[in-house]
Amino acid sequence: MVTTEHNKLEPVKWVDNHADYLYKYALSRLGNSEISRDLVQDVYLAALEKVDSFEGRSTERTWLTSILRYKIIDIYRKKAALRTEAVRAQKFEAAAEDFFESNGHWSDKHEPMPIGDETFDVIQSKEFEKILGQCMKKLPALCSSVFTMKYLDDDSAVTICKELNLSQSNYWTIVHRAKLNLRACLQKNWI
Amino acid sequence: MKTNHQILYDCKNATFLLEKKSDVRLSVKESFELNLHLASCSICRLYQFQTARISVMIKQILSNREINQLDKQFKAELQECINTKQKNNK
Repeated sequence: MVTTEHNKLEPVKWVDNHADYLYKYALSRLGNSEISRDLVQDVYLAALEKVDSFEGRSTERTWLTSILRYKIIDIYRKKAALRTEAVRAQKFEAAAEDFFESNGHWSDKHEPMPIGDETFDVIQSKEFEKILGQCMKKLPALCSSVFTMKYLDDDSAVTICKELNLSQSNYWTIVHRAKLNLRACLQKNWI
Repeated sequence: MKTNHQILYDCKNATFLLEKKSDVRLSVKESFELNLHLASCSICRLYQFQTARISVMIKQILSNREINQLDKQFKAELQECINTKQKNNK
C-alpha cells in the first residue's frame, strides 16, 4: 500500500479550509442563505459519522462536496414533492399548452416576436438578465433544479434524470416548457 | 411517419427538438423534421436564435448569483461543534 498517495481528513481544520467553499456551492444552487448555512453544518456532521468510509482516493474537499451535492439533490426532490408545488407545476403545464394550436402551430397570441432591437444585442444584456432573473424566480421548483444542474453544473441529461427520478422524455418536456415560458416572460416584460 | 405538411405546421415539435438538440445528437428522423421545418418557418428560426441567447443568459445569471459570507461567529461555533463531536466519536 502506498500510503503517501492517500489523502487524509483533518476535521480540526474543516471550517477554515472548506466552509466558505461549501457555503458558496450550496447557496449558488439553492438561492437561500439560511438553508445553505444549515446544510454546511449538516455536511460536516454527516461527514464525521462516516470518516471511516473515506478511503483517501479523492481530496477532502471533493469528498465533502459530494456529500453536499447529495443533500442538495435531496432538497430538490423534497421541494418538487410538495403539494403546493404540484399545483404550481400543473398551472405552469397548462399555460405552456396554450402556446400552440392543436396542430402544433404557434397560437397567434404567443408567437415569438423580436425582443429589443432585432439583434437581441449583447449591449442590452444587463437589462435582459435582470428581467430574465425575475422570470426565473417564477419557475416551478423542479424546473429551477433542472436548470441549475444543466446550466451551472453542466450535468448531462442522463445524470439529471437519474438523480431527480425523471424519464428522459419527461426531462425534455420540462426543459422545453421552461424555455417557452422564460422566452414569453422576457418578451412580455421587455419594454 | 408524419407527412411533410404536418411537419411544416408543427412548431411545438420543432421547438421541442431545438431544446433537445442543445444537449444530445438528434436521430436522423428528428434532424430531418427539424431542418425541414426551420427552412420554411421564420418564427421558429427567431425562436432558435432567442432560445440560444437565453441559455447563455441563464448560465450567466446562475453563476453570478450574489453570495454573502459566512460570519466569523458561526464558523467558530461550527468548528467547536465538529471538535466536540469528533472527540465523542473516538
